Amino acid sequence: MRGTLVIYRRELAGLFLTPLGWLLLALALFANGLFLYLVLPYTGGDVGSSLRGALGGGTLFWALMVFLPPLLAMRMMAEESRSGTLEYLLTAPVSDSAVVVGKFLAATTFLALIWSVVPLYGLLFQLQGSPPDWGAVFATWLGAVLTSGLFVSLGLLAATSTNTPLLAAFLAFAACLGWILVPSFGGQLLNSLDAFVGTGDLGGLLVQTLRSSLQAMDVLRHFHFSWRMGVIDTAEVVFFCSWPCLFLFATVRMLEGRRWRV
Amino acid sequence: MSRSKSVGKISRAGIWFQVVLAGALALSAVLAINWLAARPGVRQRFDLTATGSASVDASTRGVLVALPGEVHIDVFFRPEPAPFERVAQDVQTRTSELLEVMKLEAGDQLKITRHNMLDAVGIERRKLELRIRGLENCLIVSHLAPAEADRDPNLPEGVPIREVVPLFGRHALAALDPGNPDKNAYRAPAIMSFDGEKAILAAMLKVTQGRAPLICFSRGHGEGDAFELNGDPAGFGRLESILTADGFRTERWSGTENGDLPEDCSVLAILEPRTPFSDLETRSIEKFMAGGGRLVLAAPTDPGLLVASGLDLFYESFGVEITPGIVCEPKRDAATTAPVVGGPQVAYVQALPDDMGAHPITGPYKDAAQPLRVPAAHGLRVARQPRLGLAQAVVRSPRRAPGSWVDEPPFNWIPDDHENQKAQDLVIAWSRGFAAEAGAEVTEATRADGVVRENRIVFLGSGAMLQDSILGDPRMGPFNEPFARNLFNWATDREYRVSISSKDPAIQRAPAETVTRVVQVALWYLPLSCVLMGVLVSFLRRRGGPERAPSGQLGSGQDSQGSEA
Amino acid sequence: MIEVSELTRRYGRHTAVDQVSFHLDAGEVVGLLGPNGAGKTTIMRILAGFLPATSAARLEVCGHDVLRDSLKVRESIGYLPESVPLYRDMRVQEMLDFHGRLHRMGRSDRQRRSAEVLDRVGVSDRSRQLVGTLSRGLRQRVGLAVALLPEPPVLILDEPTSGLDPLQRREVRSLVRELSDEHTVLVSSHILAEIESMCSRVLVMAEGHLIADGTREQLEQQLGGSAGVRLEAYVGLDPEAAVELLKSLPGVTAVALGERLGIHHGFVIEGEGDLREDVGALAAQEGWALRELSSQKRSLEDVFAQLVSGNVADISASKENAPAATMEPTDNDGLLQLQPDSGFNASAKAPPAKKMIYSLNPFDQGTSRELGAPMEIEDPTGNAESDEPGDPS
Repeated sequence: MRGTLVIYRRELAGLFLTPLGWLLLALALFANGLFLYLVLPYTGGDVGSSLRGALGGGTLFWALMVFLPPLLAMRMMAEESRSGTLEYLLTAPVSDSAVVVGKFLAATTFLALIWSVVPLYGLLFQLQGSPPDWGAVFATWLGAVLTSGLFVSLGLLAATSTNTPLLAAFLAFAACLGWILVPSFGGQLLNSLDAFVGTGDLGGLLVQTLRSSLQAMDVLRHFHFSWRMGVIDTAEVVFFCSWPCLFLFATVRMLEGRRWRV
Repeated sequence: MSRSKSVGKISRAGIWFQVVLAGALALSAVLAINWLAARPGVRQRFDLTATGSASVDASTRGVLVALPGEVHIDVFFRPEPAPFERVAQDVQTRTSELLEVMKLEAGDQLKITRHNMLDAVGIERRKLELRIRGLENCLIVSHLAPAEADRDPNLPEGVPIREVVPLFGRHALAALDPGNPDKNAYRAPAIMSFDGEKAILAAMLKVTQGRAPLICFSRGHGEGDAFELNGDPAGFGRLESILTADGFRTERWSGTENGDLPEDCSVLAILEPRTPFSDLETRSIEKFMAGGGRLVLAAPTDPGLLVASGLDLFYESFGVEITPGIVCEPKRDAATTAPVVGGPQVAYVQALPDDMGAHPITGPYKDAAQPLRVPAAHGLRVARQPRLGLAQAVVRSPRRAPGSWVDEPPFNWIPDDHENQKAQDLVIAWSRGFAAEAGAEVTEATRADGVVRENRIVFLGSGAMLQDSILGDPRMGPFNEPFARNLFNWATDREYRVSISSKDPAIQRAPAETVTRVVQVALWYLPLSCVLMGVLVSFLRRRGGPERAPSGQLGSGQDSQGSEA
Repeated sequence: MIEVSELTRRYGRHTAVDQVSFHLDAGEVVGLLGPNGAGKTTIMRILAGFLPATSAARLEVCGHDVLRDSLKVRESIGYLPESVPLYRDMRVQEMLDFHGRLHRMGRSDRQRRSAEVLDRVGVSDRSRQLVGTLSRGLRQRVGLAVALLPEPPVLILDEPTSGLDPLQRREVRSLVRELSDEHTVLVSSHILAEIESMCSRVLVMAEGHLIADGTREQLEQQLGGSAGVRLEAYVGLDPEAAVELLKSLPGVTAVALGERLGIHHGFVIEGEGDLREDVGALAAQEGWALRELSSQKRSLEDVFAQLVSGNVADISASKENAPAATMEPTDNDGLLQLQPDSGFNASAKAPPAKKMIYSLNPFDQGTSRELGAPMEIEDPTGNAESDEPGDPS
């Protein structure tokens, strides 16, 4: 636990004591600001829906979600492995899981900080006399943070599988993008299959099962129909916590496996 | 060397097997825990929104939980043409969210199909199943009733009962303000109110309840017209539309023209009659009541009309005495807080939850601590209790100090000494066993179809409670609408009750200058300050030790020599 | 302190470390010597807990099993990998702090110790500099400081001198020598002279096998014991005849004919015992004009060079019958052909043959070819140092 904290501190410091972290932050904040700039007039100055839109409503949010975690994961895993500092970490008296969890927490905190800008906008609105619906904003923010955790863990897993930073980033990016796109595209594909299979027969049953399992894995859907509506749903909390746990577990195993394969 | 201490002797395949096994176990554990967490009993939702907009009303939940069978909702959403594309999209998004919440509440009984508008084959097939020709941008709620008894005889067999809920319009998902396309006075189209929950629920009730209960509005005695929406504020057009939206059928009934009430009439509404009923009509009403009919009565607001109507005996036959005076309560001026007495506004009584009885009709008001508007009401009194059951005061005159009074004509709107300051009943309701005629006891009536029904009567001291001037005025807020709906729902035995939501339909819109300021900060100041921080950090970090040599290699050489010495 | 027995590590089909056993007592400074790819780094990584062993009968550091008690072992080891992995974006002080935190050191402890170790490695004035801006030598020292920070009983240093300039090497070497007072040190290198200057005991690895273990003398006994005589003389026009003559001497096992130097020829005669008298007598008898007659021990360097050029089997064989001190010189032509040169240089200077050969180290030549860039600066290094570092003989 202590080791996790030490690693966490070091990773955060590594992000904020280099210009890179601030640059990423600036870019993300600019993207968020751009979203607000575009969406506020569109909703006629509707504070609540604009703020919640900035968290999960637009393509920009999901683009950040797909791009940032792989970048962070690449920096934290593949780059470290290439520069040899991973050897340093793995021979220091901390467990592998502490290393992985510390990095995961640091990256998630960084993303949480980026999303925290939305409550900050809310505060600005409040100061200007148009207070937002804080409960809803908080729920959406929490959802965004948990979703970031999900993607960070996925990115870490992908980035751990290779030494090459660029390949790691690409793999992580592909994994995150796939996690988002496969359910929706798969669902559409299945919808078009509907025309060819009956509702009662085996094919129809198969399509139904596939559809429902795809739906169960659809992050966008999970995010949209709970967090973004301003609801804390225990099932969603479980979803957004259990998958990262699985990915982190797999990452630790993968890290151990690397030792065998190296 | 003992072999027993040998480490890592497991074969590669063994290791891989272990890894794969551990992975599979972890994956199945995650899937299992997710499945478990999504079970209806385990799942907990906490709606953090201030207006509760992310969850459905308790009443809606009640209906959803007790759906009699599978209800299908087919979503045929497609983009609207400009300039409505944004509002349409907004309504569609909110409807999708609402459907998702409804699905969570209803479980497997509710089937939602989102149709891909590109999938022409699938849509054609579904249209055929639903017997629909054209399609608009809408939801279709359908239900295949299992029992033929409940079915509308007009519908062919095997065809689900269906109800179309359009995006905009009457009984639609949202009320649309089309805006003003004129360049000089441009106003963008906007949603006036999002009524998705109400509209979908009404459609569900309609399709699941077989034939909708019929409400007959009596006419021919100067009653306010229920079928004229744009007319007089004393009419009941708004009430009628609320009731149809809630899944009732409505008809006019006139004893002289139509004779007996229709066989399937559930409720007879006699709102503000001004002339007495003929014997024929009275007999029809008595017959209807003897068959387990339900009655909603409201006295005319104007005391003169009330006296002139000569219906005292008619009212008394139901055991009710009515005062010609108007119940008033003292008011205070909003600005000066000085008591206002002597103006007609004192007749505009607000019944607070304390003034309401524990009755299904007003229960929701008590739960939500919301007031009810009772303008210009006559005081009622139960003169004679029915043989069975109990006449209950649903709403009473306010009893808080300094107390209400009944202002007798001629009105001076000031409590005079002689005037009755006792509490008055404003709305009375009966259930079970009402004797229409003294001596003729009708406890439980059996209708022709063999269904045992009991009488239910609601007597309103003020017809104005349901008038367009109250229900149809947006400035009045939604205060009396739930009352109206609950009234008829109770009268028709429908378990569905409207609860008063505290949802604030008003959307918080920031003024343009606020938007500009916030966007300025968000778009420029925040990112720029981050960039500046980055520059600062990099500058500070680069400033290493105080005597760092410009060339590292040279410096290190000298340094190492120095330390050697 | 370190107990290794029957350690094997395979990478796929390739066996990097094969049944290696050794142990280190507390306070010992032991060098792990071997050409690249001999398995030195693998052994160190296994000991540090970075790599798991494929199999081992016993693998303990400070009494803790490396695999089962990995965290305890990591706590008691100061491990400095060859690449000196430090976070480039951290200041020296921060790096030390981070390491101290990982080792659960208290704040005051960290401050005290980091001042101490920085002082010790001589970079106390750089504590606020970014690690990324340090030169290679300074980085190496900071790496050492980091490894030393938690006062580990065991230090494992992988090639601590690689990539350094001569001065820096010298410093690192003296530092390691000093460390022996407080720590058990296992240090690896592929340069014999370095190992010799740092360690009292040397483990020689080649192709995953441990082929020798002991002090320098023991190693010479084990590996390079065969003696020889170097003869440079004018033997007339037929050197082959002279070779035959020399071969006929009692005790001579092999004679190699070197290149012609003017009218003189060089020979290397190998055999048992000191053959100089016999050869001298023969020269006098034959009337050869003698220019040089010197006894020549086959040095450790020669043997090591042979390792590098890939003749492990021979060395291993020679190790087995080391007391017999018989070697077939035929297979080290390259070595012998270079020797006349060194002979010239050497004759002008002091006699110690070992030194002369080191100065024009054929083995260095060999390795530099294999190692590539970092070794290239070592050639002059070797020359420059040959005078100074003083064989600790």
